[in-house]
Amino acid sequence: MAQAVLMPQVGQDIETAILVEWTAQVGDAVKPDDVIALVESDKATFEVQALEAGVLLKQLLGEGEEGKVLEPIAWIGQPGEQIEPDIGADESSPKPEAPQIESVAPAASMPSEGEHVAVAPAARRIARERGVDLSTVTGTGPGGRILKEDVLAAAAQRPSSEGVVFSKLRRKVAERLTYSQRNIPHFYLYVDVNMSEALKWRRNYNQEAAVKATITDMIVQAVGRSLTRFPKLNAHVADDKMILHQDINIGIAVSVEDGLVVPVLARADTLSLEQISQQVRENAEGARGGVLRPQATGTFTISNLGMHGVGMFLPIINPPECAILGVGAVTKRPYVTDATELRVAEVVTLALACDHRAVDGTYAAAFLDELKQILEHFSD
Amino acid sequence: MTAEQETSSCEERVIMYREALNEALREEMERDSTVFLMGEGIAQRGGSYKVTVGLLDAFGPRRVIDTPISEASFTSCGVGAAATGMRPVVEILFIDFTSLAIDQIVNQAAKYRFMTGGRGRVPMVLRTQGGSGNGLAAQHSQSLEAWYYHVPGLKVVMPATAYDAKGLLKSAIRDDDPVIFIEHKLLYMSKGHVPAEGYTIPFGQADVKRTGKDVTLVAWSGMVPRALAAAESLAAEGIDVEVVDPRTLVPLDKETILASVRKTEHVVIVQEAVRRGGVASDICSIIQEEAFDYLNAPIRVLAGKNTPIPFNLNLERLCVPQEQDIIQAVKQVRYVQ
Repeated sequence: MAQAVLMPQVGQDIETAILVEWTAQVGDAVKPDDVIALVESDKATFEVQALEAGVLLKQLLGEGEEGKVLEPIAWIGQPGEQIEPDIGADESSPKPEAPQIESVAPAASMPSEGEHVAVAPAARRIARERGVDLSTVTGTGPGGRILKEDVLAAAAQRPSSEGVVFSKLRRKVAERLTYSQRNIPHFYLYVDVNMSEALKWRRNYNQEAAVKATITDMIVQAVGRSLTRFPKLNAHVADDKMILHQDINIGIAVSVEDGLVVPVLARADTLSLEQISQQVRENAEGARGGVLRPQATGTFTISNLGMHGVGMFLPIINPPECAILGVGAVTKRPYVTDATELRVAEVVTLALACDHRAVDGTYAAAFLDELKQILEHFSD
Repeated sequence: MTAEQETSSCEERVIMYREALNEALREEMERDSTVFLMGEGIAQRGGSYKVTVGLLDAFGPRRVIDTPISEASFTSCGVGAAATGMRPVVEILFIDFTSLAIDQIVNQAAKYRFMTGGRGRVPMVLRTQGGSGNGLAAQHSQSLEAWYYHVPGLKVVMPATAYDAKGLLKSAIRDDDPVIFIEHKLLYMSKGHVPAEGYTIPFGQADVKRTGKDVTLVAWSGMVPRALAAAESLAAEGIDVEVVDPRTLVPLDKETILASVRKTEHVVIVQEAVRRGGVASDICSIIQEEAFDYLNAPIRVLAGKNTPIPFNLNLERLCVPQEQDIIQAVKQVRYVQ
């Protein structure tokens, strides 16, 4: 019996996703785990895999079309097999054609979408040379033919500043951060951490490690461990309540083309450094490649701009989370040790932004101090 | 150069198209003793259009020969004489009558060089005359250049001005292959600047008779003065027309035409001959193939109606492109209402 392939639930609060590309076509043989389509949510692109072997019988969405999550997007079965007519397969059963009286007249008189638009060859050439999109040009020739003059006029009208409409991802980023900045009373704490010992430890570790650890990986592990003692910072916050999460799922902000995505390490406190390094690397590559597998919901976010030489910055909380940690660059700085000696040390400044509705300064300060202690005496 | 400019300069020598042709024949006969003339009424009468006036007296009856009304025979004589070393200039009074000698032209003259592997040549000029405009009716008014344009082995020359007539006829006589030299009956009395000294015009070099930036108007023979007149009217309306005269249809100077098309991006081709199977259609196909990306409007072919030319002068005018028709065609390709 033919089986439906469902639009995946690609995020907790996602209701619809866009089918970006069919990687398998009707008639193609597929086997379990074959990627048959790519779908896009607000956050990232995900692969849709076949769950059983068979032939792709029908695609229910066209590329670029939106579909509800957990509803069928395709059918897989045996060649020639009938698809159950009751679910999402209305189009496949031909209905007796009703006489389409109304559609005749408008089609004859009005240019419908996709109708051929005449373009003079010279206009086509000029458009190519000047990068003018012909679909934006109104033709003044007979029957609306686009002439060279029309393209030149369109090129001349192009303003010196260019309006860029936000992509879906950009819009989502803008919406969430505006919400966060407008609704969440942020407060910020920062602390300098002497990373000299940790870096020494890392040099030894990396000599033998299968996957080399980065400073980010070490901070992820340290944050995971610190959060076990500070559950209010591993929480989701609403207007009048907060939800404390058992699992410590740490998101790491990754910049991608035209936006920011936050792949999540589930239960980061239980992972070894090697596991963290491995997953952070895979997630970052997946995010930059535009393809992320369905993720756990994040409970805390780390944003690291240290590799870009930033000393310190104040991040914006990723709602509905309670806190976010901004990581600056590790640099050699004069540092007063416990023995009140001035030394040169490898120091990083961490900035913690917290939701003041849920937590207060002393609580956050205690967390930050715990984190500092773990990092300054780092061991796997 | 316009007619006004030509007459306003007192230093320039201005003569008629038929006089220019006469000069060319005279100069070439003086230069080369193998050149001789044959045709109906060309010796004692000096030709129906007075092109050969005075040549009998100058060169004698052995070199300026009146023939019977027998186009097939004397064209055959011309082909034979050319094949054996002479340079005959054979005149057939109307191009309509070349149908009587078409085997000699198409199957003999045009093929001889090819079929002898290049050892034989037929350096014959067939002077003839075509076009409408005098109420000469269906059998004396045709524009049949496409017949000869179609046949490999023939060169087809169609001068539109006195200057071109002289320079091209001299080149035709010196050419080692058969040349169909087609004059126009309305042009014999037209005047133009012609230098007294001898000159030749190479085949395959179009002449831009008027430069312009807005529309390329390709015209030859009797359509050239009409195209120039239309261009002047259009200039007053702000449309700057470039008139390109190929002068020789075979060989055709397509590069000059294409360069003009790439500049103006709008094309009208005007021919007096009937539309069907005409040279204009062939030039049109060359342009669309080689300058497609430069066209801002469909190429307009303006040609004679697909009909025999009527005797009635009013109907005759309706059948071939007139100045107003050219103006309308140019406006059409410029999308001017």
